Amino acid sequence: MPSQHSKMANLFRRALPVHTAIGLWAGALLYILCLTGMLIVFDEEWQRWEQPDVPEMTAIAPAAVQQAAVNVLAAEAELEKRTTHLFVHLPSGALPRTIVTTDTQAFHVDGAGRIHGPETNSWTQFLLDAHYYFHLPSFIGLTLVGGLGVMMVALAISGILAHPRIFRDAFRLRARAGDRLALTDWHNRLSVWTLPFGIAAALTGALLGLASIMAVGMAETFHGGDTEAVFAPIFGEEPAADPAPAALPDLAGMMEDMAARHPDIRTSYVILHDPATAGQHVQLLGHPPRRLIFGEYYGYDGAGNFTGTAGMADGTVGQQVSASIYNLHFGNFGGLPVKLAYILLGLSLTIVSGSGMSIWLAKRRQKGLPTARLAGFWSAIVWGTPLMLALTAAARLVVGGGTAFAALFWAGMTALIIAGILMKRPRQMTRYLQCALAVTLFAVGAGHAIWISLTMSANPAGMPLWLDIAIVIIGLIIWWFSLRPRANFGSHPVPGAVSAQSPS
Amino acid sequence: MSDPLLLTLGTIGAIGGIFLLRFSWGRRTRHGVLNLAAWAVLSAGVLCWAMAGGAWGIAIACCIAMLSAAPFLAQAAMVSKPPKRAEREVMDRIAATGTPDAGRRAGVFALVVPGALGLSVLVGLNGQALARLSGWHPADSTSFGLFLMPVTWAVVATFLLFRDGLFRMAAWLAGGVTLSAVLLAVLPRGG
Repeated sequence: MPSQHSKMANLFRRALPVHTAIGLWAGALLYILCLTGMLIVFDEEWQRWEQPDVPEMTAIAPAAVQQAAVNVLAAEAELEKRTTHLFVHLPSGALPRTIVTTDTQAFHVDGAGRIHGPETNSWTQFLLDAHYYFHLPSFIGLTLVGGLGVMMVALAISGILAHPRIFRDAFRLRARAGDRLALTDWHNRLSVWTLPFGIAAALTGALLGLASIMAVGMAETFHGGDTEAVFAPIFGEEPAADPAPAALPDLAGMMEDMAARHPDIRTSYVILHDPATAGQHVQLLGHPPRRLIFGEYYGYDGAGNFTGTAGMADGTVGQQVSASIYNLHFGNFGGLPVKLAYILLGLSLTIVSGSGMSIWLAKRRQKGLPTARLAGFWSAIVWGTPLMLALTAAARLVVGGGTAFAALFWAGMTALIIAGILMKRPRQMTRYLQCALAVTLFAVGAGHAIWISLTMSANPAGMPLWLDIAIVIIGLIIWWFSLRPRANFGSHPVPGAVSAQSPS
Repeated sequence: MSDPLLLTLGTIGAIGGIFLLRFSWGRRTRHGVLNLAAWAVLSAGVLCWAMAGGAWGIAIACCIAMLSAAPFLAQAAMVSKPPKRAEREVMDRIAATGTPDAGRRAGVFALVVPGALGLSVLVGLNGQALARLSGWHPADSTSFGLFLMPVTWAVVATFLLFRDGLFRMAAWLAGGVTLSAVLLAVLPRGG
């Protein structure tokens, strides 16, 4: 009968191929998911960067919000189908703008509620959609992304089991000990130190992604096929519609009432359901301080009477947990410091997901198996993904918001992958891609900075310029990285040491 | 205790705990007391943040603790040396496992990805049904089912991959699916 020790040893031995198998299945998509996830932590900042010539404000008067709603609905009066919802985004620290969104379009408004112009954040939306669905139809894409979240959790479990010394070696980093050993150490150390973040991000991502498929199952099993009934107990029900025409409700009065009731709670959205109908009602999304929840809905009827809250902040455990998933996943619960922390942790996860396959390729080469095509493929994924994202950003600046960003990105990725496989020179491929990425980033950052300096007499916000400086610096770092003589992350590593703890 | 004091103590605890862990794990031999002290300081830091801000505070404390390790890793990277020859030879001898054929890979993938997905959906629905029967609030039972499904998938996927051979994996999966489907069929839907 095997001893306890040999059973454990057997478990550890078997965990490595499990970890490797999951990594190979999910590696490429996980890398794209981690990279885009890291970038969209700054989605509000990207929005400001993409469209800098928009009125910005720290606050807006309730009367101006009322006027903005009237103006936008008047602008849509000619449309065949009236909007069923009207959202007013109120200025916040990360996005100090007032934006009115209907079912079909969105407008920026100035401090008096006058329409300034349409919102054109198609590149930021492209980035968000890449992370949410890989630009696939939403149900399929969400399920795929949710499944990748599950695989990340499984990778964390099998990774810990595969590396019995992973915690004891948590501070050991042999960065100069040869490419493969260094890569392995980076992979293992960053995995350990981002473990709580990685599991939280993966699990919340899985929950968000797989909620759709579960909702279908729950609706069929418990609610006669009604998917809206699945989420109603958590987020609240929509009152019955009454299409009879009615005057717009007093949004300004509601905002003033909210400020009087909860002076410590910032309101981020005014949501008008079924506007200008007898069945209209309003929700104000408020943010209680020091909470993970995305917000609490404060309800008002069409006559302006307060009808209560949805229970996100003080409802059942299930409501509060469900309301906390989004912020925990995207890192928008503590202002800029938490966003910067999420960027660093997200970058670490991106390196972990990219380095895993690189280590596997190195071992494969050590066994004498052909690796050139696979390494070319991996080089195209690791360096081609940021390159194509940078090129779409360049297209946004040069061509405009009407560019088919998703088509450009995926067509470019396909071409790079084919080139990587056919070229069979992964080290060269990596260097070309790194140089191209560095040049593109430099051009995008510098070009954008020059553009806003020349076209805008008074830059309404210094933030886009800070992003430009960061982009240029990252470009320079990658340029320096590409000039290093050693093989590196995403390339075809040279023969050398392989750690006992590296994925096989 | 006042909030600023709690937050300050929490921050010191989160950073100090990592510092102590570095000191403890850097020793040649294991030191149980030092290890325990490190974890206690780290836990106390997280607790202070939790007292000041609940789940929000725990999330912030975790971010602080995780990032506190960065300077130690940077220091380790800077002082690292090339490996000794003997060490390299030992590492080079590590043999990798054989490469499974494409058919087996496809079979394993089918069982672990779509197969385990199906099972986890059934487990999630069963979890929700049992929670409803136990009198849970609908918001709680729904959230429980939504949470149970991805966790189950991750656990089942890992569990299946640890089995020897496709047949065993398929047998475990089929057993789980059958059991879950029967349970879901017999459980009352009301509640």
